[in-house]
Amino acid sequence: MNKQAVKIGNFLLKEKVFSSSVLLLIAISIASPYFLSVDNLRNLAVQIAVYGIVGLGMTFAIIGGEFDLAAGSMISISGVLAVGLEPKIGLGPALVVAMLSGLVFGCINGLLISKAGINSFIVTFGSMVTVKGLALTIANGRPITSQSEALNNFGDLRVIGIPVMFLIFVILLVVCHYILTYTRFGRNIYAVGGNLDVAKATGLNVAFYKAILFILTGLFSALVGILLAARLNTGSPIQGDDITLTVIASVVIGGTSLSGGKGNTARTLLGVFIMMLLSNSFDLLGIQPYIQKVIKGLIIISVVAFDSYNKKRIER
Amino acid sequence: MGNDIILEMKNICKSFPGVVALNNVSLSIKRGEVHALCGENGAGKSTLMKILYGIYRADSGEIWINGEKRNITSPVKAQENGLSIIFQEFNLVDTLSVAENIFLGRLKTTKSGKIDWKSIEKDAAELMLHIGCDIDPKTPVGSLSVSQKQMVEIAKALSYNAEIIVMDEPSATLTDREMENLYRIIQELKEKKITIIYISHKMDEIFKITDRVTVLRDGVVICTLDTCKTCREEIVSNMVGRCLGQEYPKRENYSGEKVLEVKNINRKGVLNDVSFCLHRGEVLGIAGLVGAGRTELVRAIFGADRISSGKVFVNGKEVRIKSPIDAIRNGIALLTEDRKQQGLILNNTVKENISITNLKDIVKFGLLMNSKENNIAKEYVDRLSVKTSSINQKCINLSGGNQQKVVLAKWLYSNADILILDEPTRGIDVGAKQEIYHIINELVKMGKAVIMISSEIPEVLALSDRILVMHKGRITREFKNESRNVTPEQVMNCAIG
Repeated sequence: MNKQAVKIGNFLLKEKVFSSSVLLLIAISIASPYFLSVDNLRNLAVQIAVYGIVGLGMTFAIIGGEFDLAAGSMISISGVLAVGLEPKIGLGPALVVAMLSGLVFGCINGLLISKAGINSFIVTFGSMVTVKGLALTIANGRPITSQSEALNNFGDLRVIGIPVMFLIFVILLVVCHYILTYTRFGRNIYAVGGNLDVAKATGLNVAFYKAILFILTGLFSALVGILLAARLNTGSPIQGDDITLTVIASVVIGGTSLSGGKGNTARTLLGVFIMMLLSNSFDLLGIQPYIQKVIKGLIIISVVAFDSYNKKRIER
Repeated sequence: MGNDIILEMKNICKSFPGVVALNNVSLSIKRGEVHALCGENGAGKSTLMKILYGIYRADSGEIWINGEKRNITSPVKAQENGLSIIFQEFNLVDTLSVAENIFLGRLKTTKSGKIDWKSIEKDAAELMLHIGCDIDPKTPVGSLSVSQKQMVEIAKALSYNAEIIVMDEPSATLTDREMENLYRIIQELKEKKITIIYISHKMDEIFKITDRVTVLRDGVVICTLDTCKTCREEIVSNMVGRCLGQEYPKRENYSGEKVLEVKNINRKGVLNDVSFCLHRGEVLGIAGLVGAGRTELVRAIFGADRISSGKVFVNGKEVRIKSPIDAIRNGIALLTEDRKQQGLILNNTVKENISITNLKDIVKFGLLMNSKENNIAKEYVDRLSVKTSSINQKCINLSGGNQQKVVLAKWLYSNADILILDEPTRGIDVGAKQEIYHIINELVKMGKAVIMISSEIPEVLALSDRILVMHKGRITREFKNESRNVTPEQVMNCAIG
């Protein structure tokens, strides 16, 4: 009994991000009675789903020692394609094209990085700009309103009171966790991110794994583009702009290291959860959106700074 | 049994741009023997092994294993042919567990395609036990010691059913006890008829564990000898191609006034009330076992680690050294034991590495004066006889001994008066070691003060004018050694505590 308590105590001390999110959760529940209302929780769940799904793709990339700056642009273009093409070719084909866009751009990024050996920062930054330009061109620079009732209804769909987007996220979370922990494919990604030379010497097809990372972020981003379009009844060419870096920050705050080879889906969930909880709390407390950005930025830096300070202190 | 040849490399030739690395090298290895491969740095040992392992392709020559000609084009092919190499830089992923590292790339799965962690961990534990090592297979490799990582590599090799294991200077970074453990494991592998090719500089261990020894020099096989029928001198003279004469060059005593004084330095858990002084023109040796606090002491003086209390005086004045920048400003230089990580920028040229500590000397109006930089680099390369094709050669292409000389050149150029050398001869060959000794002698003759840490007691005894022995963060004894009369036993007794 006592041992159990000590164990939990140690866990909370070690996993500071987790403990602070619990504290924050309690604090905000007391500070704002509206927080625990069904509407707000549903809202929070949808936010977590959006960032979480992109985060899952990014988790693969970061574990594999890379990150993908183009995720946000791929969200935008997928939403624009889904909503824009639907009146012309029907909902089904439009969704297929939207998903294909993620696959194609992901493939291009992946091949440029793994086969041509170009630095991933440059490649994904370049495609971030290019794809965003394409999205703006297709949409003529303006958000497109969705004509499809089916799509719009899907965005608000609930199963036993839970938003379907959140359920999709949970399913993907379980699948990704399974892949990363229980399949050779997943474990090889850890090896590639942990030490590329060793992975090569072991005979792994390193180029394949590097390419796959970007295909995955592409596909996950495209899916989020469709889900957001359904939720907001709009395909906007600037929809994904803020998402990419917030997601990368969330994954890192969760405790996945940018140096690669480490991390898991649970950590990503934690990181996304605390970031979304913060936004939600700020909204409920009526803090001005611009100031929110300032505070969020400072929090991101402090969390990571605190973490590396702790590591250094142990070393010194 | 005696003539059962498991591996034959025939007439291997390999050139790199500008150098012939291997010239018609033939090597034959008997099944179940421990075969030493020795030679100076740059003799071609590593190149030969990299060809065997499929990392380099030979220009010409053949590899025969178990009486059949094999075409080894990649490490994976080498593994399929029962070969395994344990490099000094381990082939392990730090972030993964022991079990996963052993079975990397071929993790067992159940019928449903799910990784069978239980059975993988069981197999890993068995392999580790097999070599008498009980590490929990779930431990992440990053948290293991060097010797434990080596064990994991050996287990990994065995998991490939390796018949031939090549070990590249495996004992270079081990403590005495860890070495004994390694020798024991090698003995056990030998009993299991596993063949071992053992690359080493250390004569003691060559005589302790190997059956035969092949000496390489300048890309050519000089001889293969039965270890029990040869002697240390024969191997060494074959390695260097000349009689080395005196292993440790003699010098006069140049000791002058006090340049550095350290009073009651403390660092929690590491250093305990350490005081000593250092004179101009003197070599002060620091001996002790690994973990006695030698490196920690010099790091503290250099400002790389913080001290909790104590005072440091340079030329009689008290100085506060909070960072390496302060130390360098006060004329103190530290040559770390890990020259590849902390001493050199490996991908930069010899020239750039030499000038880096004293750039202000060659900058005029904010511009780098190329000709002056070149002249200075040339001067130091000549003075320390660094063997390099040019001053624009990248340091990564130099042998270990020559890299060490570049580090020395860099600090000499910085005009440091107090040079702290942490294991200056680690991992470099006999010939280069002697050159380093000569350089140290030159330094003190010039009036520099040298602190030298070394794990090789004979080296400390032969070079130092005074010797400090450390144990558990304390200086347990100071020996005066002007007439080189201190014995290894005396030092060892104080080092053990």
